[in-house]
Order: sequence, then C-alpha cells, then structure tokens
Amino acid sequence: MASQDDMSPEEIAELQRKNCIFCKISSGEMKGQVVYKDSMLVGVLDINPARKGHTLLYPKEHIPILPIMPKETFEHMVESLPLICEGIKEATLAKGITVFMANGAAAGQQSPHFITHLIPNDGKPFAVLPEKNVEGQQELVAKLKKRLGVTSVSTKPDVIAMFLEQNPEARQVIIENPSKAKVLIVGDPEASRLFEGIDLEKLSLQLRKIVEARK
Amino acid sequence: MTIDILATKHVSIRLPGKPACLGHVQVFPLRNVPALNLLSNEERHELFTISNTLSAILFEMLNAHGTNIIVQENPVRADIIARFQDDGIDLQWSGNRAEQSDLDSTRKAINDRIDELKEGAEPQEHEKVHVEHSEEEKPKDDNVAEVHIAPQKPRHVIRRIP
Repeated sequence: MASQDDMSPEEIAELQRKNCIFCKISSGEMKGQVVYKDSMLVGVLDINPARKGHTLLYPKEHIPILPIMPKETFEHMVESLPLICEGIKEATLAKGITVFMANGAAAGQQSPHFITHLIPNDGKPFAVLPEKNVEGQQELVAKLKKRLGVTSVSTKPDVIAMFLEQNPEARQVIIENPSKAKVLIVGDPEASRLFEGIDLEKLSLQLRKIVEARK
Repeated sequence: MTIDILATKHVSIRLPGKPACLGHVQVFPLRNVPALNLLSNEERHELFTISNTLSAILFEMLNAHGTNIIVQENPVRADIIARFQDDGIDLQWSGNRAEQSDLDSTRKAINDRIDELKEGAEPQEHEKVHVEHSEEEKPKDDNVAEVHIAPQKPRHVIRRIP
C-alpha cells in the first residue's frame, strides 16, 4: 500500500474521508452517542469531554474546514444552533455555552472533519483568552477596513443611532431622564466609551423631537 | 484601547485593547443578549457569517496557520483569532474519558430535551436532573428556571438600574 508521502493531496483527502470516524458515525457504520441528527448535521457527545454535555456538531458531508463549508450547510448550522445549545444547556443544567471552532492544526483542530464544539459552562467563559500588548494594531485596522470595503469609518452618531434603535429601553431612559442615564452610563465602561463626548441633555432633546414628529 | 472597525446592521467589529495576539478581532451583537437563542435569526446569521468572513480574511492577510472562532454567552460575543504554530496561546482543554453510563444518561437527557424543545415544551422538573454533576461541575445557583426564563436584558443602561 502506498504511504501518504507518495500520494497526491487529492488522494490523501480521499483516504482521510474514507477513514473519517465522523463520517462513519453519521452513516451508521460506527456507533456514537448521537444527541442530534437531521438531513445535514450530526451532533455527538465527545467521549473525552471538557464538561459534561460537550457535544461535537458537524456536517454530514465530509468538510475539512469551515471556510469551504457550502453556504446552505453553514446557514442550516447557524439556524440549528439555538435549539441544540438550549437542549444541551437545559439537560445539563448549564448557564451558558461556548461555541468553539478550530480551522487548522495550529488552532487545535484534531480531526480532518470540521467540527463545532458546543461546551456547556456554569456561566463563566469557558475560554479565557490571554491579554497582551501587541504592536501593529493600527496597521491591522487599516488593512481590515480595506478588505472589508470600509471607505469611511462609521461615525459615532451612526453607531449610537444603531445602538438606540436596538435598545429601546435604554433610549427611553435617555429621553425621560438624561441625568439618570448619565449616572448609569458612567457605571458601565462599555457604555461610557460609546457615549464619550456626547451631551446627553441634547441627545435627549433630539430624541424627544423625533418622538414628537412621529406622532 | 479598543478600536472600532465597522458597525453593520446588527453587529460591531472591534479590535480589543488587550488582544490575545495580533489578529484577534471581536464581533459583538449591537443588541446585548445573554444567550444565542435570544438573537433573531438575522442577528445570529450576521454574527456567524461575519465571524467566518473575518476568520478567512485574517488567515489570508496574516499568512496564519489556522484560525479559531469562539462564540461565548453571558453576553453573546465572538472572538476570532489568527493562529500560528507554537504561538503560545493555549485554548485546549484536558478532557477525561467519560464513563459509558455517564455518556448514555447525558445523551438521553439532551436527546429528550431537544425533542421537547422542537415541540415547544417547557422543561419538567424531573427532567432537569437527569445528569449527575461532579462537585466541580455543579452549578452554584440551583434556580435553574432563572437561566431559561430570565427576560432579555437590554444593553448597558437598563442593566444598571438599581
């Protein structure tokens, strides 16, 4: 039998597909602890779980990494996630879930079949990321904006307008009691950053005018 | 300092002030919710699609060896991280081989609950204790209902009202 050194990438991929335990589980050739199955996806329990209920959700089709997953499968996975995550959380009494995806061995991918790990937790984040001082952030921002086709930065009023549209109760507090809103914003670092330099009295007045105009 | 890159209809894309590495990007839903199921389909699609796109862009732009997408709850957000061989970022867990009986009972509990959720049923008290937890894994708060029925909390301001 030829060793993998003598094989083309296509032959290696085909061999991996033939030997893939996740394909074998979805076809029924191998037994797995299947918690979810539909026309496109399979969810099985990890036999070496990080936490009880740790589930491996994967496409039935042998797809090695997420970026090449067909759009239809990706969309179906995103649609199915709430049901599966809630099922896991409620059955294991978990308070939250971490959705962990790894593309490539350097990222921790251990199987040639793309897998999404669903790891229940007790409310604290499962993955605590290191925090570093990193050089080159500004250059990265410029490159990312270029790649994302951002020709102008979303202005602060744009972001605040979107925030207020998405958070009607926060909007109401600003309209009805800007002083109270100010106190509340000061107590929240993220809100402080968003509303930094914004005159809440003026904003409140503008919002009241908009409400009046809509009546 | 956190750097805003772009805000779309439903999410904002940022570079964290203290990233895990060069190539660490965060995606936040504009509407702050504690759990994935509280996002609308459209919001959830945007969160995952943009995270996936950013993952591919970072991989290519930084000549990375891999990428991680990590979506967490409480509140919902996504971290996208470009990865390199021996980059010193340890995101792996040390899983222990589970007992067959544990796997069987957990599978049954999840299977049953998913089936019930499909039918729109609320969890029954006796079904919430299918799984035996070790002391370490045991949730501190036994008020399970709070996790499932807590009203959706709007972002920032309202959350802080005494």
